[in-house]
Amino acid sequence: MSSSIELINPKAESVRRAAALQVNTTGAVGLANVVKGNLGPRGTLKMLVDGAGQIKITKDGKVLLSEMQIQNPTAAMVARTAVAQDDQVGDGTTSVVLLVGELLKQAERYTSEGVHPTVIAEGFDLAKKEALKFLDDFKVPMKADRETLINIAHTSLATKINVGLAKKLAADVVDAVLTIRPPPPPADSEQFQSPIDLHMIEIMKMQHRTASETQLIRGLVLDHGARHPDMPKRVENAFILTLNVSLEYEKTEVNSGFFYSSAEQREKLVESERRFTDAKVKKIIELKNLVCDQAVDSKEKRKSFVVINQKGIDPMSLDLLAKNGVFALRRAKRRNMERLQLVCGGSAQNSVDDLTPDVLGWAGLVYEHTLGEEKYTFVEDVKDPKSVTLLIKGPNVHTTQQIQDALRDGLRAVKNAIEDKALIPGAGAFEVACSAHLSGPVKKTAKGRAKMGVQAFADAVLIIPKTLAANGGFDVQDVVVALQDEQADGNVVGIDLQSGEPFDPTVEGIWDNYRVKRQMLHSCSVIAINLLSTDEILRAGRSSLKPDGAQ
Amino acid sequence: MREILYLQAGNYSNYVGTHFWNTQREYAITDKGDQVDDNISFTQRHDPDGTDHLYPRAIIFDWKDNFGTLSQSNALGTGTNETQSSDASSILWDRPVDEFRQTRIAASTYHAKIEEDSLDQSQTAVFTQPGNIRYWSDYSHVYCLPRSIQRVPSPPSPEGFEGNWKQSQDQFWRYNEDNDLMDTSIRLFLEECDNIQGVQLINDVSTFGGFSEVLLTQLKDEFMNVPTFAFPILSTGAFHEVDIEDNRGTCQVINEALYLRGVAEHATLSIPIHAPQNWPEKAWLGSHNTKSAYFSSSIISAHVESVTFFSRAKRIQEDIGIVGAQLSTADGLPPFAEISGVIPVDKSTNIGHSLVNFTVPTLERSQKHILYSVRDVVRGFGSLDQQNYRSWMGETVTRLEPEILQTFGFPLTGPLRTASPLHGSDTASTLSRLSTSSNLEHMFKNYASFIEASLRRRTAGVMSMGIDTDDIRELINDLWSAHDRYPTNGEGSDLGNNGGSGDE
Repeated sequence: MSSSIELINPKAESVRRAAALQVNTTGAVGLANVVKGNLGPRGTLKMLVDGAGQIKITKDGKVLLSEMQIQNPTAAMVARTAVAQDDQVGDGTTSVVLLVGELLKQAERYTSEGVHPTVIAEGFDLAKKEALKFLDDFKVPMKADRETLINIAHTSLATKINVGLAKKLAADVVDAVLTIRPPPPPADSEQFQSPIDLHMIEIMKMQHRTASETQLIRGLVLDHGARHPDMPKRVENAFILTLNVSLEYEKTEVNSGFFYSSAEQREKLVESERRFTDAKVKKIIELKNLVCDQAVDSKEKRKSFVVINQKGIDPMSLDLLAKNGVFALRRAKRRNMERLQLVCGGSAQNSVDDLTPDVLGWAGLVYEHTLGEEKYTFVEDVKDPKSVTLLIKGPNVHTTQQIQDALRDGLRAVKNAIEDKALIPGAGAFEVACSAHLSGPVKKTAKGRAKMGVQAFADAVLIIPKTLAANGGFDVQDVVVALQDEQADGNVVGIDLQSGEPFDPTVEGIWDNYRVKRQMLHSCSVIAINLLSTDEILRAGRSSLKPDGAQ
Repeated sequence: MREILYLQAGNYSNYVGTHFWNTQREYAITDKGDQVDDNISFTQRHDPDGTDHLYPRAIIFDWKDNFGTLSQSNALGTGTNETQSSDASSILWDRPVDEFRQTRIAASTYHAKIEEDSLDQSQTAVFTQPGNIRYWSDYSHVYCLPRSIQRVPSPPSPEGFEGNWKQSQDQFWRYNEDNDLMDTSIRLFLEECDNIQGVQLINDVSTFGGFSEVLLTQLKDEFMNVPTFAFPILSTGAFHEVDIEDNRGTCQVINEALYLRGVAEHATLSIPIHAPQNWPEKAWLGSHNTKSAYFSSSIISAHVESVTFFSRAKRIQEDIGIVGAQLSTADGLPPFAEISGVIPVDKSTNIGHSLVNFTVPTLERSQKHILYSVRDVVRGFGSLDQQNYRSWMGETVTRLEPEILQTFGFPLTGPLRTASPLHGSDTASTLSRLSTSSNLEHMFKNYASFIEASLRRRTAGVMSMGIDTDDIRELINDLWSAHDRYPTNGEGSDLGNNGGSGDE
């Protein structure tokens, strides 16, 4: 029987029922096969080299999915869900893709025997609810102490970069998050704990020899330097003025349709504009003199003055500032305006009209660092930073990018752990336990045909430990059986990727984020149920956009 | 001082852009240094070996597949070190790595020859035959800073992408999310500028329309009011030939209209240019068999270079903001102008007959137009050419006082060298003109009435844009009001009636 859509639009294509499910399953499983090699610390890294010789090295599911130009609509849909997972919680992209593929594969076993897909979908829904409940029981509350957090960061980093570097960076990552963490509200107040804003960690990349020099700076690093040869390159004990005021002579005013009728008029306008800009600079210098003037024989440490402006500063203004010993930076990042206030204190100014000493921040050391043609400015030695910088050093672009990807995941993992106040034992332990829970008590209480869906779900979640084992080079069946045996004795077990034997991940400090698992269970079952419930796939519209379809 | 930031988006625009930069480089290395200020367009770097290099102050957007051999890692001309790339991963990773390598794109025959040893100008022509040009990067003479190279992911089906306003906008947002353009590449270029004069944008509207519009909006948001010249490349050209039932064509027209409305708001002056398929025969300099993008873009580049010459010249006080406003908004006109020109001009040239209007190529003969403002750039004219030009001007431009800039001959690079009328010469006499006229009024009228008709009939094309009908109505209104800003005189009166009916 042809689809009714084909009656009214002969160019439309349609696949129905079993064939539609087949299309979806193939797409989802195909995508899962592409990414399964990435999972876990033993997963392989993928190096992509394009026709122009540009290199991209990644293990990140999200990066890989966006690099691949996915044509298959089902695969594209799964990929979008997975990327959304990354946006939400920062991890678990690969797991979601694997789970969706496996859920559909398991469902196929039943549907091929004539079970209606919606029956399976029903079971999936039930299993998801039960799995989420189980997850809540399974989680381990934790104290957010530095030790535990470093373990978490290390687990996350070690899946992206080698162990040595991961160990070093784990501490930096944790310290960074702990520094920017907002203080807890008073115990008795009604206030919620405000969330951690990871944007307050500036990530600065520097092309430099070795990657092991990547480090945490308790301060801010800016990717530009002073633009005047006479400005000091290094100042100590500095007041910091954060500005968002153009110190450029603004000829753009003429834009609105106003014209000079003569050369003199033009000259006059230029002159008055210049005076206007100079006046602004003078106000800054007045403030500098107010706070920095010291008696010649003063025993105090010399004070200095730094201006960091989001807008431009033209050469004449720079000249004026340099003559007065001010260190000035122009066109700072918009985001750095906010960070600077958190690093040095003070408040950013949108006008120079009411400058007072209390808008100023303070830093013990501000210096310029030149690397080839690039200049960097370090603002360091600050009192109580609420924002920090992770300075990435690497010999080339793809190395710094790889470290950045890893750091990003590490930061998210630590933030999640602190905010969840709970953790899930890693190394596949949750999946093994959850599978046993579903195929045991949950399946028993499930009514009628939903049992099949529950069983399929229970089998599907085992794909995580299976893939970990396969990537580690161990026999998948042996490992799974061994894990299930241990689990049946009531232990929390994961797979030790060194030996292939079951072990207790909590002892080794291998933890996963609660919210990542939660989001993962959610999104994979939602998308799997959607794909299962698909009865008909239509392809129309696009074909009519093709040139041959136009007439 | 007076720095310009150049933005290029889209494949054809980059063909034009590459010619443009080749010309700029020609100025920099020849004795034009006393007339053209290199620091306006180039940023200077001191290399470790003590030499200075000039790099374009440009941000180049295109789809990844269109970049050819050019990438961020080899933009500076250092080339990728193969050995370095093969052990690149070992630094951070001590376990197996899966490698996926696309076939390496070979350097163009032209670049390969340059690598081998210096080749002289006469040979250049041979190696840059249109057949040897696969990508616009194949004939580039300049090296770029890595931050200039912005390789936007290619869409799965480029055809489906053409004229798709929404998708193009989305593409910007997605790209910007990963690259944070305003805080990185663009900001770093502006940080180097002592006092920026403006932005010069050239972009393909069909593929990068929505993208460029958001880019421009973001730029305005972040960095005050930088005067901007926009050169959009339009593709539906003779849109009155677009069938209202043609879905693709309708999408293209609406896409262009949306773009033009967008730039009207953000750019000081926009100079639409039609894609070469709509050009009249005379535009091709008699070379019938070389209607390649490589060739046509060199003509566009020559005119764009000439009409914006003032912005890069030493000793000229005008800037992008002033000139842009003088041409259009000062007289209360919408911020649009036409570009037209003649290459080459010699003593036998009938200027009036040879003048090609690239903004409205199809309208010019059928309709008389009224000029509102004119700005000519004449290059390398001899005394006879001068006379010829003066007398032509005397006949055609009577009421206006045209601005005329005279300067040295246009140095020929690339395919123009091989075109028959110019064969063997190093420079050419050219005439390039920016003007406003009633042609633009017709252009807006055509856009407005086409979309109006499409909307009235609810054609599949207009519905498939995914844009609310109210928004389309608003667009139509905006187009009519742009149209209405042109003075109604002479033949304009009957048009005015049409304009009135559009507001219903």
